[in-house]
Amino acid sequence: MNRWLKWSLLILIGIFVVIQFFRPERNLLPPTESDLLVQLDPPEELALILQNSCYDCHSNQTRYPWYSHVSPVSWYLDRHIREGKEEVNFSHFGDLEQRAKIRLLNEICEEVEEGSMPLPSYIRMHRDALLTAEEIASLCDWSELEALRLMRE
Amino acid sequence: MKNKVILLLLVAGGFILLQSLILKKRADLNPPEEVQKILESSCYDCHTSAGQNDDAKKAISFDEWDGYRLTKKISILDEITEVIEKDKMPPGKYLEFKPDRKLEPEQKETLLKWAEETSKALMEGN
Repeated sequence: MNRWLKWSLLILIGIFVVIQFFRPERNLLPPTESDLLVQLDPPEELALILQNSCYDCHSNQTRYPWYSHVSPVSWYLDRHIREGKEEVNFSHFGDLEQRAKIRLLNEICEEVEEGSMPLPSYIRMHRDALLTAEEIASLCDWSELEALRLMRE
Repeated sequence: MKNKVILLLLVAGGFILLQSLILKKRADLNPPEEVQKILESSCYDCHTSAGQNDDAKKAISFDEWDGYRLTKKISILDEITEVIEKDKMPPGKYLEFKPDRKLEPEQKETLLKWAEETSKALMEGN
């Protein structure tokens, strides 16, 4: 029994070591001019909120925590980031059509207002990503004004 | 007997009134007839406030169109374009029961054109 336990433990450790060699590509592309923060230049505190609560999965610049380097956590995060970017990628905001921009702004507000975003699992690991009611309100005020401004362009 | 007839007439009258109210409410969006027909047959089963599916109603209830903010309207029109282009709507599950509600290529064209023109008009009107 004891020997059996020792072997299974060794095998598990072996697997753990081996999977470390399978690393997903990092989501770290150089910043672009079409980024929402460049295009819309929001007030400082809102830019911080967006970067802090949204940009890890919805841009080309993820801030990777230490544990993200460890497989299989890295795989799990990689999938989230890919799905997030597929849904919305703030780094490509400038390339969108006018009405798609307006929709994106509208959805920023809706998602945070409903509490659908940031994801609860993300908030568990990033306490500071949790938005206060005032932060949500100012995000919504801003996105609505920006959307209306875009319409007049 | 006479009372019964009056009651029946009242009920019928109320029913007609209700229908016209509902119709009037839906007319808020006021799309061309051709578009209206497509929306009615392929979208309204779920996307009006009388629908059974909460997610669908929340995404858009066409009869509540007038109450939506301008940015929300444009957002919805953009979403309509997306779900048609990507063949996400009407959803497969719905089409299993009502295969005739599937959008034909010409119907898709009509809706896409309408969504784009309407959102342009909304932006310009602002």
